[in-house]
Amino acid sequence: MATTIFNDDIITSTDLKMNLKHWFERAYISPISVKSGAIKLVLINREQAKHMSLLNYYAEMIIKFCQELYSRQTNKSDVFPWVKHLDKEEIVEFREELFATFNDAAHSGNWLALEEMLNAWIATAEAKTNPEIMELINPTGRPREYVRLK
Amino acid sequence: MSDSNDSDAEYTIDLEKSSAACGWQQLEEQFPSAMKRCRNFLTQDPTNTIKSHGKAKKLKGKLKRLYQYDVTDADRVWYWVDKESHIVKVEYAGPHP
Repeated sequence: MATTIFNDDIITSTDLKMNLKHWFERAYISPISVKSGAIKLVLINREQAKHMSLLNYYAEMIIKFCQELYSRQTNKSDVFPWVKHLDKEEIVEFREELFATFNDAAHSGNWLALEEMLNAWIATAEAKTNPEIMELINPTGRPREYVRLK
Repeated sequence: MSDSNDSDAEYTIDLEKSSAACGWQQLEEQFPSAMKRCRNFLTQDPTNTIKSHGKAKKLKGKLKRLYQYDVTDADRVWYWVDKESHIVKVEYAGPHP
């Protein structure tokens, strides 16, 4: 089990004051813990902090979604309420893509790909509430005629 | 994500008579600038979702052939692309129900 998240240098606030530039440069590469009495702070690269924050945010979201899937056995979700518009096969497809994209992002840091994937599924669920769009996958026999835009 | 590989291509737009033609015209009257951007996107590079700055999305699941373009927060254009004949087929244009 990981009980610490930093394999870091621990310095005092006096050390920091004495050699600010040096510790800032070190902190850019890997986190530096600063102790001042009972107070413990961390200097960390902003991009690394952002990555850790997003990793935590999406991991919590996915764990909650998994709990919902296994406990409810329905297409109702509080985490992704729009999945109610997807059918069973699509929910499986969404779940597999969610796990794979999360895994990729956790390693590559490309969280935008996960956001885009979620937005595409939200748009899909939204489109499935439109009867005109649903007719494309469940044709009622009405012929589709097109006019050219000038 | 984009699956475009023909950014210089020019596309013609076909509107479905009963579900898109009227809605498209109304959107052009209500939101001329937004619809000009939409039209430019559809005629120039309709599958390049990155170029759309989040406006266009490739749908998933049973709708994976379709794209959605957000004209406004509440108005949509749903379309698919015939790459061989370079035609964008708009299946719906109008408010999101």
